[in-house]
Amino acid sequence: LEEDIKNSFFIALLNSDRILANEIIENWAKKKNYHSAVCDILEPSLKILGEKWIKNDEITFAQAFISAKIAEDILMKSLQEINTDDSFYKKQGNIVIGNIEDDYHSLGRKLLGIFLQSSGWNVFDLGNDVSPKEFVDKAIESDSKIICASAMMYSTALNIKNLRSEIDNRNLKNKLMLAVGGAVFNLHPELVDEVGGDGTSKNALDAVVLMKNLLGEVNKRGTIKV
Amino acid sequence: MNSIDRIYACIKGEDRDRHPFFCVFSLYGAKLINCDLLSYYNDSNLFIEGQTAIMEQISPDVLMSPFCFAKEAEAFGCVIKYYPTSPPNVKKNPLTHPDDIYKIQIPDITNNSILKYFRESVQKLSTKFGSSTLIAAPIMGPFELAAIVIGLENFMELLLFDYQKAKYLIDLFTEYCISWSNQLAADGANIIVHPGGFSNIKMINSNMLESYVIPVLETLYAKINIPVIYHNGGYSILPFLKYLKKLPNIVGFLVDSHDDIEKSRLEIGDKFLLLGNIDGPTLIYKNPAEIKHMCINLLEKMKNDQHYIFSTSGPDLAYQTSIEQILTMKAAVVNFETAFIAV
Repeated sequence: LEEDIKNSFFIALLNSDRILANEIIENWAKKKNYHSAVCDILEPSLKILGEKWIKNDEITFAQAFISAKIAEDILMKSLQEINTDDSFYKKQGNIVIGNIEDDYHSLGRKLLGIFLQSSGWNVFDLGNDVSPKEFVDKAIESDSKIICASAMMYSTALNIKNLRSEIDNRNLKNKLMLAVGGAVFNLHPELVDEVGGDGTSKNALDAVVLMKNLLGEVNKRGTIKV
Repeated sequence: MNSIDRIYACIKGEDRDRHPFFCVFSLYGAKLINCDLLSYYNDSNLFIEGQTAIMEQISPDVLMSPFCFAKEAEAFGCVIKYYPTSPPNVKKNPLTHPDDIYKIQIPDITNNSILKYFRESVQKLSTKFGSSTLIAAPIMGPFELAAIVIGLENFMELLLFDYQKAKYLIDLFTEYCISWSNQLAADGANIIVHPGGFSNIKMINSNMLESYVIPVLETLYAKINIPVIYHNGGYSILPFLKYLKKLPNIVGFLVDSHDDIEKSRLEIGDKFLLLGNIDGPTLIYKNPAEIKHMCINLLEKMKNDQHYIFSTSGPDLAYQTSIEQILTMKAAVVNFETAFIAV
């Protein structure tokens, strides 16, 4: 029966049926909770959807967009649950996210923000077209240990090199980690090293694991002091 | 046989000396005259100088007026950013709230200084080359215009969750697109090229195409005074051809490099022009031998096709593409013997 529910949810995503998808989650959450709905229904479905998106021809932007909206609906409800039951979540700390200078493709970044927030991060979303200085200034001001820079296109991904330089020039290497992500990094994984990223993930779901690992790296080495 | 003769023979399915040759050279003209792109995309004289260099050095059968939609979006209040080697991009949309769509001002196509650049470019291309070369004018359709002016995600949100507002925008932009296309035709364009940036399989599925896009394009194309070529917009359109081929006033399809060109021909039947499908932006990564091989393979597939135009797919050729790479492609077309040799 649970498998049927999961399949129904996935089909609702593919059919862009926001109402049905939310109903399925509501019913699941009534029996269990939203945390379970996120982990057991939403995340596996989004993972498959993300894989299909990367394959480039099975999922449309419209489907991905609606799926993100549905995920947002569910994660917002999940967040409300956090306030009443903190046992599921541990506070992870502050984190800065944004699209790198000249990049305006915000869908992935918004989704990342929601997932990080639901995983206990206090997210500072700087939006699109963020300069290296803005990224690093905000990280210092908010005592964040990770910056997530997003880019969709090859040309804009290369601008992340300037963010790497900004971090290094302020002597923050290994104290302030740089996570990079976006469609172009899935197509060209070698770009991660080229732009100086400390890590990447294929999708917003895996990013949660990546951030935990990066935070672990920073904590081994100490905190930001300017 | 000049280029116009060659293209019209192709449209009619008559004998010609070779397949026509077409690439998106809008940007590449700037490289040939070593012109910065801020000047190039603001001064129609510089654009014409660039296209003159294209004609002198490459001599394609079709010339395109500026392929620079961000620049057109600037006329609607978008802030754009220029780059050293690629066309400008929209940096900021004029809207901060969905209700702001009612404040969007349609620019006056006869007097707007930004649109004047496009119009003058068409006029000058037509005056200088129009007697022997086809002048194609790329336009944004209502969906592309809405996506670029208010942002793709904002527009998708309205289209899917607040259709009344989306329809307001679509209707507003459809009227503009009709007027703009006909103005470009009056200025000397022979053909409209509509890149379906919103209407390809990466963006929407066939249900959305049928329910949202096709009815609008039926209205738009029927009111354009010159023929329309539907361009892939950067992604595959093969699964959509069965819907698109029913549109009025459409004479051909420029398919994506990922589309099977023979299947595309089967899908559209034998009366339409079929253009494609060498990937223009990635030509830069191929050496001349690879380019020649790729072109000959394509030409072999299409050698018996009476309505075929050899063409690059996708947006502009990359600025860094060498003239040798382009001339290798051109030579492959010129030297290839078609089944339809004009006497």
